[in-house]
Amino acid sequence: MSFLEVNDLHVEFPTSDGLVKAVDGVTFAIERGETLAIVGESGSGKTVTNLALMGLLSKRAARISGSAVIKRGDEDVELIDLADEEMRQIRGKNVAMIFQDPMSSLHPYYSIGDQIIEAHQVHNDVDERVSKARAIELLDMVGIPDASERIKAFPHQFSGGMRQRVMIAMALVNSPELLIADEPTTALDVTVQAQILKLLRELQEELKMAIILITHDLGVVAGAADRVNVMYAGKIVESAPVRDLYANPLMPYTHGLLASIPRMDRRAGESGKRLSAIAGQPPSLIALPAGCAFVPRCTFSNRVSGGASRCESSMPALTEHVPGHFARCHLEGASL
Amino acid sequence: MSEEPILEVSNLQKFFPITSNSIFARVKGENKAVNGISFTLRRGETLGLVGESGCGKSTAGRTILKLYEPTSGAIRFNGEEITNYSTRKMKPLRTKMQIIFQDPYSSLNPRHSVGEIIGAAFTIHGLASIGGDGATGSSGRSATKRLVQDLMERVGLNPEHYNRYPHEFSGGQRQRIGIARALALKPEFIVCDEPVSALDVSIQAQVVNLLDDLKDDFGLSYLFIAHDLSVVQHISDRVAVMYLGKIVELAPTEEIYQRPHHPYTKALLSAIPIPDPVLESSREQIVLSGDLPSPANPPTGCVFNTRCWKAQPRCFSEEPVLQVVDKSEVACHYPE
Ligand SMILES: Nc1ncnc2c1ncn2[C@@H]1O[C@H](COP(=O)(O)OP(=O)(O)O)[C@@H](O)[C@H]1O
Ligand SMILES: Nc1ncnc2c1ncn2[C@@H]1O[C@H](COP(=O)(O)OP(=O)(O)O)[C@@H](O)[C@H]1O
Ligand code: SF4
Ligand SMILES: [Mg+2]
Ligand SMILES: [Mg+2]
Repeated sequence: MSFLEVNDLHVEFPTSDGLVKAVDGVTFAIERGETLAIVGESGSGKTVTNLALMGLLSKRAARISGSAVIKRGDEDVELIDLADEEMRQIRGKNVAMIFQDPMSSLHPYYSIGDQIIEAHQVHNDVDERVSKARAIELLDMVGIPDASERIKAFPHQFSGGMRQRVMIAMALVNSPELLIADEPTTALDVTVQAQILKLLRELQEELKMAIILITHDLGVVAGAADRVNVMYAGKIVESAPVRDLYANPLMPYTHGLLASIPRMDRRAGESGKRLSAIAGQPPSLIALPAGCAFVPRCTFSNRVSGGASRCESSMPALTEHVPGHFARCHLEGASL
Repeated sequence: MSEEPILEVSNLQKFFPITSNSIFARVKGENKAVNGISFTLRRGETLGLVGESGCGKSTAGRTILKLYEPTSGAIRFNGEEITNYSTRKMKPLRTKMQIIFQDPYSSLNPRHSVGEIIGAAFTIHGLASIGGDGATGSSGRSATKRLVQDLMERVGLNPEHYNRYPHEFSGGQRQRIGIARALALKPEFIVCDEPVSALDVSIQAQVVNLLDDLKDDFGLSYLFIAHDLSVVQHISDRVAVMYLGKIVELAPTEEIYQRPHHPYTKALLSAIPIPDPVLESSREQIVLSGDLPSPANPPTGCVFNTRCWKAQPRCFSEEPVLQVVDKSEVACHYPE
């Protein structure tokens, strides 16, 4: 069994406009030490998937079903419907999360040292001095200069990139086996993004943790992930080892997404300057079509045997077309 | 594109006073947001203006449009020096110079219908009756409506949505509303301030392509601001790179991507992740160390000297000015 196995996860939000199917039958697994990227456009269900795993969705707002089993030592723990107290034991210890906005994890009124020490104390029955030494060790590891002094500083005294490093230090203080990083570099400038991605790569190598990297940026994924899940309208539509995905996308949405990225490594004017856009917009999660959610935007559906009407009426299964490479598409052998 | 300049900017500075938070709001210093930039925009040209957040791009764009009072320097529009024009003297020029903003959510008044938002420009400038021979009242209104609906159609909005409100539109559609509003008065020059930065990639490509088409149809010239060099490449004829209030490199688009001469341009380009795992793993990345200095207290000599791997003593004592290197202009003592 894999380190974490998610099976047929559903998350629905009843709203006054109707039932929002934010996560609609998601299944995936991640191994120890692996980086799994989840990519997709905003609203595709990336964040909600992971909030559901971590028990961070309000039970009143969200209806959650399915299964997510994680290894803790020799024990298998089912995360969905885990009691709050037990979930708190796992969160911050076995699994840690970092977000786009570091201020969502950092308290503005406490020094960063106090906050990291507190995060350590919660899960470890040790003297505060031990926790302090651990905090300094981590701040040092994430590249905060002069850590033993800076530990007294407050979050607002750091730049955006440095705050992101502080948040990473805090997330790693209990040596988690899995780090969930939700758009960790989206708010940062590219040069700072490069610093943070490099740091995450180095930390992973050193600490051998698994990472779920959530991002909308296929550039970031290319340099960071081992495996990629592409999400569209609450479903995984393609899943492949990173090189296979880019070399040979099998689902028209992935294909279109890759084609629409402006590439600065391609010479200006070379491919005609025009970007190839995906027409239309993602569907409403309240009124999802019976078949493939991408069909109104798809330029390949006419090639499907049975035609576009088959795409409209029947949901393709996530099928393994090439070993390890899955796509949710009716195209025969998904030849794009 | 003609050789005739539509816009000439020389030595433009815009400083913001930094006041202390006490009730005696004394000026403590100056934020040198734009610190002496010069460039020329030719009629029909798109000049990309790139650089990381806080380097002064938006301030430059707004000062050029006289939405901010310049601290010093000169702005010439169609040969006419407008640097010290009053609001009243600017008014006739306002129809010719427009801006499109980054945030499609906050830049549209939520209480006005799309028709009112786009049509407002006609009313404010007393042009409600173009083609309606000065008539006000219902014939003026229906003339406005027709003009607005033509524009909506042109930017890819459904003209039947004339009476809808901004919240009923997606981010990409709202950006189209902002574009229609800017086009309403048949401008000659548009500052596009990060018009696609808030949009998902597949939608980004739609809007970039639209702006490109409109440029030809309406005979526009653009100052296209972005922090993303890869987007700029697809739309710009030339690109200016800003760092801490200064233009450090200005070159034809192909040149800047193929032969960056300023070390900062080189670092900025190498920080952009390439959406190709094979290339991404094999290329050499320059990861800049340290943070951006404060624009209130820029380094003396070269503004980039605190982070530059090529810096020599001269870089700390003497400010490099833009000089011609190959086909580019570069502000560096030791260009690549
Ligand atoms: N509490 C909630 N109530 C209703 N809808 C929600 C709630 N939280 C998220 N959603 C919806 O679920 C969908 C998926 O959201 P999310 O997972 O945040 O997307 P992503 O992270 O891929 O951008 C979105 O359409 C979002 O509006
Ligand atoms: N209206 C303003 N008042 C005071 N300071 C400002 C104002 N607008 C921008 N600044 C400051 O000027 C600098 C440049 O900002 P800006 O032009 O917005 O940069 P960019 O658009 O490149 O991100 C920043 O330090 C910013 O804080
Ligand atoms: S002038 Fe000196 S410090 Fe500035 S970019 Fe060139 S080499 Fe680097
Ligand atoms: Mg999200
Ligand atoms: Mg800006």
